[in-house]
Amino acid sequence: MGLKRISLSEGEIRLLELLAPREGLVKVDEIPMEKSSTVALAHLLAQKGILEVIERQERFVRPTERGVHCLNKGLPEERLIRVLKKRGGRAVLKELTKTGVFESNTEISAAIGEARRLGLIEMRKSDGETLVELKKSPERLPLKEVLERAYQSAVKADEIDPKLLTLLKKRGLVKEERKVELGIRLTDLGRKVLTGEVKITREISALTKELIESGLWKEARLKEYDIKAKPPKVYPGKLQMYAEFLDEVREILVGLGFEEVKGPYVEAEFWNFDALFQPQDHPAREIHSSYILEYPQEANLRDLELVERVRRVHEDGWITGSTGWGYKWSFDIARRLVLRTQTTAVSARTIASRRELPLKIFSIDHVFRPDVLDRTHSMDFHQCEGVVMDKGLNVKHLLGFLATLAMELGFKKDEIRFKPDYFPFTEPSVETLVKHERLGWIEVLGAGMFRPEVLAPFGIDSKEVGALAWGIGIGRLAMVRLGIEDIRDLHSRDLIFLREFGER
Amino acid sequence: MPTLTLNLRYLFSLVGRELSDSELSELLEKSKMSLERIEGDEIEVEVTTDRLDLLSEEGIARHFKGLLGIEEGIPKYEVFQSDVEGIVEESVMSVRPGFALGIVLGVHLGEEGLLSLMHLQEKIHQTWGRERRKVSIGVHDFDKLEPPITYAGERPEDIRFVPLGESEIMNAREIINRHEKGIAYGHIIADKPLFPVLRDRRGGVLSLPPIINSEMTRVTSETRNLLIDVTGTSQREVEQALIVVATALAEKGGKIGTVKLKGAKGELVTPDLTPKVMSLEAEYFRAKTGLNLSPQEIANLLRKSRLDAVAKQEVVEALIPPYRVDFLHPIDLVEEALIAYGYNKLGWEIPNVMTIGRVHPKEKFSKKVRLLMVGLGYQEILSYVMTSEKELFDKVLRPKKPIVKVANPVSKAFAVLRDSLMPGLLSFLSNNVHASYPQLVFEVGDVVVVDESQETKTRNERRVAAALADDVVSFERIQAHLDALLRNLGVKYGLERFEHPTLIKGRSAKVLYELKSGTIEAGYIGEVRPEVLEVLGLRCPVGVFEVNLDPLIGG
Repeated sequence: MGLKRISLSEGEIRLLELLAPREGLVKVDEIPMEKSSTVALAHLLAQKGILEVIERQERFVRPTERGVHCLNKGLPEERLIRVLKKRGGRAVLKELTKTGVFESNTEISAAIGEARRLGLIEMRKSDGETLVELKKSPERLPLKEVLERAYQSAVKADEIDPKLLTLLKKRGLVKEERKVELGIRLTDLGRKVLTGEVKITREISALTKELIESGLWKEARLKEYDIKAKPPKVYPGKLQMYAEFLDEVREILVGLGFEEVKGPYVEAEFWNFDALFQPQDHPAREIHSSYILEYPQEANLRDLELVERVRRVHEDGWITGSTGWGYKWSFDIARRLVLRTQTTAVSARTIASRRELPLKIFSIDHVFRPDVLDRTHSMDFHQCEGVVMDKGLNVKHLLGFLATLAMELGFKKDEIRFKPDYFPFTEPSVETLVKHERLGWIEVLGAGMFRPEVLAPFGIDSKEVGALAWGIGIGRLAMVRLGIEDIRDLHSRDLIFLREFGER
Repeated sequence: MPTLTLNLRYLFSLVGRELSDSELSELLEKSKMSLERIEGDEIEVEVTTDRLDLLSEEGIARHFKGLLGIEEGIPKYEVFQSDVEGIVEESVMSVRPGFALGIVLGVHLGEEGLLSLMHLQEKIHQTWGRERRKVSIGVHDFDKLEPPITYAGERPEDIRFVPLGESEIMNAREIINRHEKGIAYGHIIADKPLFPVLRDRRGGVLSLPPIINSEMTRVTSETRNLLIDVTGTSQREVEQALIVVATALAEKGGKIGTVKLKGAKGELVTPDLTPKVMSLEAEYFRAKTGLNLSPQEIANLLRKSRLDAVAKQEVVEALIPPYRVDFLHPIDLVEEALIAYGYNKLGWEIPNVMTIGRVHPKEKFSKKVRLLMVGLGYQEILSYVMTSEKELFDKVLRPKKPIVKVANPVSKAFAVLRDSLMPGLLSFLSNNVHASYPQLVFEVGDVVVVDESQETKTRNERRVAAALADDVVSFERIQAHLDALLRNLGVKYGLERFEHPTLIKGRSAKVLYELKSGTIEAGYIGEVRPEVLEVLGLRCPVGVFEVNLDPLIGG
């Protein structure tokens, strides 16, 4: 009789081997293998006729919530007996409600019923009142014993006296649960497989180096996968989304011919404000607008000739034709250290140190301003700023450049417009508005031509040279782009958020 | 920037006609004001800090009338020399030296006008006045006082009057201790031996600047004749504030009377309403704007901004109204004319400036490092540079050392600048114990270290730090990652046993770069001490490294 070869996976073979020494019906729980795999493998083997899977329903008894409650507080009849003992063995029925021991009249009826059934109490009438009298103290309460057993571990229903079970159920102290128990038994075919009478082909789940090298793969059968099953979740290493956005902006600016420059986070007020013609009593320089330092406090300003020219420009305009601010400028304020409030400080440093034209520079970096961190404000945020400086540049060039930049940032040509604005270091000054499909017109690029008072101390004649200075509200733009509504998420401290950002 | 609430009805009545929504928004835009909110007849706008003259409905209407062509050129106010005198005593010079007086007669204030005047005063106090420290303004009913006015410093106990809105006499000391305004602004003068005071001929107190006026000279909507006093620290700003208030009142038909000041400041007449003269070369305008306009056309634009301007050959001579304090240089005239012309009518020109773009070497190198870290399976994070000493030192058991510390932190959590990236990574891990492991995170960024040799006494240093948390973490595993990173950066390095307060003794090492120029210390690597893990609530081991990238970056 030519039997067909049966293919079995390694798991199936392992289960068969575990079953080999056992006789008859074996409970799944008793097999030393993870239960879910045992069940899955058993079903597969059953399909191949190697074993039988027998389902058996078992009824288990568990205490209800009320049952657990009664275990803690005592059954009503227990409590009744306690009350009676305390009162010298008897009590008027009506007064039992007032003892505070029972939660309801139903409880009292249940207590009396059960106590009478067990012959623990007697009832009698006296002077028109019903008296409850204790006849004997119980040695044990069978109901409670059952309840306790069921509480410790599920008890099979058929192991309990049916009368007690009915009573417990009636009183709502226990409930029955059905559980399916699986048993497995080898078939004749299964035995033949084990004895070797029926040959098997090994079915393998993983093609291994050994199988390939040894050539054993020729005899093996590769198990089919369930291609619909969900894979385990893995997270790739990723760039942070805001950092990635800043990289993109860098790339755009480099594409437009800009060179990136940098400067220190801790900056002298001189570079952050004075060199930008912001008067020393300007509100932006007050303690609620910029962070001053406890340590270190004073800069060693190096280029004292430049410092002197800046002083003159502030006081009386120097050679610029400006009136200046008309106040007594202080060196001590200029050398005070602050956390830089604007990357314009970097532009000022760069213009001061470079002489060649044309110059196209930008910086993207942290700036700091005293603010409470919330959905829309931050004390530590990024600015992106730059300068285009060459002979003969004018406001038309400024607008042309701003429009180009806005288009590079992804906005449409006919959805860009300009309005006048004020920045202390530029004149004329302009704000660029672009149309966003959801938010309407939004401000994205503040800009202007550096004032003569800013350029002159650096040795630049503003009659000949135009310096277009611009800044992108980079954090806001990133939020719009990335669909982030809380500014804190740009620096998210939530790993799950970062891992899943960009997943759809 | 100051925020103003404007009554549209009142504004339209001053302009002389209603404005449509689109007209209004164009005018606001040309005045650098942004509309924040509309509610019925009220609108809320933001005004830029340089335009003191736009802090009242009267001032705004004056400017709008120019832009609309209703009334161009410099406003003509009726000005006369009054015989009122102000006497400045030497005693006040060390207390609050800036002082100016002016009168405005025949004003019909009405409820709206009174409210507008109060708002104007308040806004100047808040902005230019730096909360009354630099400039404060008092307005009085001229008919209830008798000139001359004396401005003097007196002992606080000797200054006794009924403060505005009160019914009992208080002395100046009581006012700064008990009165609502005294508590708010008393600190400006509290430590001076003498307090500034304004009295009239009879010795009646007008005002205790910068705190409160007296009930005696209270102004109501019925008041017709006004005396304005301005005091402060700087004479220039004090006089400018007086001009702004007086001309706003003159917009309602008031006649401005000048006052002669005598005494400690010498002789002086205020307010000085002489327009500032500034000339603009047409060629300069054309060079700066790219707009080919004739001097006459430029002059016409300036007239729309309420300047007087005449073209004289190639030069525009401009007369700037005294309330416009924002003209320092002819470039300001260029902008003013350009705004009247309209930015969006100007047209664009793409600047043809040929340069070669370049990412900063630090960023270029950092990108390489970041991509290698990502390749090793690490998630990038971006922390704030501002942090706390608690996070930077206490939580990771590092002993404190001098770092950049802010004197005016808003929150304790952000009061110093980080001098190391590692504490931020560990705090990140401690925030994420609920997320699945392994957790591999890194950050590339600047820390700030104190360096006396630098102009700013500090130096930014670019670093990379990584942290790896898993059920089992060995020194070897984190070392393998550092090794992979440095090999791929082409760096030869060595490790040397050392102790770090955050790391387990015997499982931590100093990282040394072996560069052509010599061997230098670059950072550290190791396993985090269980004591630190406990403080941070981390339940599995963590390996970390942090190295300086600056020595590897070609400048």
